[in-house]
Amino acid sequence: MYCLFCHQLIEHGLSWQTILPKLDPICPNCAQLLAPIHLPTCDYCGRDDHISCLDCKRWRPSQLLCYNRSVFRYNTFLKEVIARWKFRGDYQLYALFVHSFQARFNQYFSELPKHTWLVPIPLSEKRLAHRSFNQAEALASLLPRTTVPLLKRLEGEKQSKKTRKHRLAMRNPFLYQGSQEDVDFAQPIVLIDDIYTTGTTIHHAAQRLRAAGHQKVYSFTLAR
Amino acid sequence: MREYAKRYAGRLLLRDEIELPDYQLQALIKRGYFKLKPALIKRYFTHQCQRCGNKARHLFGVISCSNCQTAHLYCRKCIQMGRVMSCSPLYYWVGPDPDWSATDKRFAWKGELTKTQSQASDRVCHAIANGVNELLIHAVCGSGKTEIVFAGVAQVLNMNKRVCLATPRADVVRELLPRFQSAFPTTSIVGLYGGSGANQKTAQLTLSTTHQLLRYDNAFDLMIIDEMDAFPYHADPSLPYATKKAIKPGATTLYLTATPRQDMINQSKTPTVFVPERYHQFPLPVPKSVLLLKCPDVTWPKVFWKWYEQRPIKRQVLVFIATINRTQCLLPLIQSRYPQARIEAVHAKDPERITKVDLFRAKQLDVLLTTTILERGVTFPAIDVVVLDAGHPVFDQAALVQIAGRAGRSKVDPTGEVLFFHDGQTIAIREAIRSIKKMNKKAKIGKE
Ligand SMILES: [Zn+2]
Ligand SMILES: [Zn+2]
Ligand SMILES: [Zn+2]
Ligand SMILES: [Zn+2]
Repeated sequence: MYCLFCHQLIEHGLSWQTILPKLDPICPNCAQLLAPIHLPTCDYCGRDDHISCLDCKRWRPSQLLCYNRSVFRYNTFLKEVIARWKFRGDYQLYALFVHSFQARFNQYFSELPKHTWLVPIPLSEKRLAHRSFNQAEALASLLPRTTVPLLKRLEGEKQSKKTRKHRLAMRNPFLYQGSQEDVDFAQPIVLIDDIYTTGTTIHHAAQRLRAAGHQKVYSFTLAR
Repeated sequence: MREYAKRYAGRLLLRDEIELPDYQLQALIKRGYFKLKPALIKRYFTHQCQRCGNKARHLFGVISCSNCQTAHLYCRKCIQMGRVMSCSPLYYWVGPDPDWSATDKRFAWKGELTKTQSQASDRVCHAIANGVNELLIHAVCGSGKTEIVFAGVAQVLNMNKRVCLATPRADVVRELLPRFQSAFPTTSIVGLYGGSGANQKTAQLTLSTTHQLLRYDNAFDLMIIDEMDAFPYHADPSLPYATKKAIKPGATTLYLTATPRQDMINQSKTPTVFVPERYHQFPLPVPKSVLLLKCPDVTWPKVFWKWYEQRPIKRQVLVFIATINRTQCLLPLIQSRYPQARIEAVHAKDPERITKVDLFRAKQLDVLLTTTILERGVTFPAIDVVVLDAGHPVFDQAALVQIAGRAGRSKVDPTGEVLFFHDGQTIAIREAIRSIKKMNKKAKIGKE
């Protein structure tokens, strides 16, 4: 087997590992550069680096989100991996995270019912056509829950074209597109995305879902 | 249409790289100026990427593609140049040939070739004129390889044909670009390397890293491959594939190297030109092999201090060190021993690498510690060269010959010292010294 990231041949040797049906396609060198989050220190955004959360002070009172959880720290290595995955479009790299992504989901969202819905953060049509895949959808497809496309993303203007004031109060780019008849508003929803940075994107999405009437919205991302 | 021919002829492009709106591209296809071909084709039990030639199964990925609503293959090998997918074709130009004859092709190089150089230069011109497919130019470090090919390049440019010089390293493209620009001031010239910002530009004379050549197909009448023995050219099958694909049928390919690998010499019946003499006609400095009881890896051998302090001529010193780790341990030790000296270290991942090399070249540094990244391509006029732990496996024969070739490049001071510190002579050390002596002998015979 070859490492999906650096293409080195992985020598597992003859050990108990060889008889396991599935192994992560990542070599030990690359694997040690990933920083898994085991114990979140912030119960709201799920980070574990003990830095006091200014962003969370802002978001918490809005009560839009129950909480966010993430699998890895967004360190230099993961930045590089995600850039290659998203911007270069190296789709296959998702396989690096399959097991951890599934395991953390089960750990953090075990109390949610089986019929919980996953809502991947959408891309705008233009961007989707360019990239040929949506990384959030790819992540959602790894989890044993139903994916429901309740949101749509409008074409964004270029960041540089926005005035400062405009940028600060960033317009919510999402539209709600569920229909009253087939939606159960009591059903919990987990938003799925690749990165949670300032929390703006996730909260914009959550805001639309809450405004439509959904009562419980969580989020789960690959990186924090 | 003339502009389109110059922009697209000889290239193999993804849709995004064409930079024309759909209606324009469709019109060009209708008129028969562009053709399409599948990007990935099935080959027995595997597939092949038509851009990079990749056939390795683990370097294909499956993408669940939202454009065509199916899951299909894409090439992971050449993905840093844009994604090649089985649902999107590659485009190539079949319209009129580009016309490069508009300007007169002035050859403005005013230098003079030595007797050895001009013999080699004549062989190159002869090979081009007679449609010889391949010629190997085995030229020692500092022999002036670039000047040797100038006349041949001028000859091809004057025939309204295209020339490419390909090298594995971006540094070399950056260094050669101004030299070619001043030798051919009226010719359109482009330098292609990752991050150059010019990678969709085209010209009659192209200097390119071997990677960037993947976008070319059936383009060049003269292909010059610099340092063909250097990593990663011989380690990565897609690079020979790219250079083969980029030339036109009947083109001439010149291989330039100071250190041909043994299998290249043994197997190939390629005609070879030797250039055993440096441009300044002084012999190559022969490395001194210095045997130590034990070669320390993270401290400096005492003999080094002794040599450094007692040299009769205080040249700048380039010190080659086997690993990045060791350079980082050794740097503070030498800095604290010689606090007045200006000393730095570079390695492949050093963001300030280019600046430090420029400083060293401008004599703003006294000592530069480096990993093998500076083993070839870069030239400094008058330096001494030291290899610590020359028996380490990263220093193979070719690397040691190249490293030794960094010394004595100046006409004014042609005799820099080269020292190999080791704790047991390896085959690589022995063979490197032997082959340098052999070339010096050849040069001497040539003069008699
Ligand atoms: Zn790896
Ligand atoms: Zn927080
Ligand atoms: Zn490819
Ligand atoms: Zn497709």
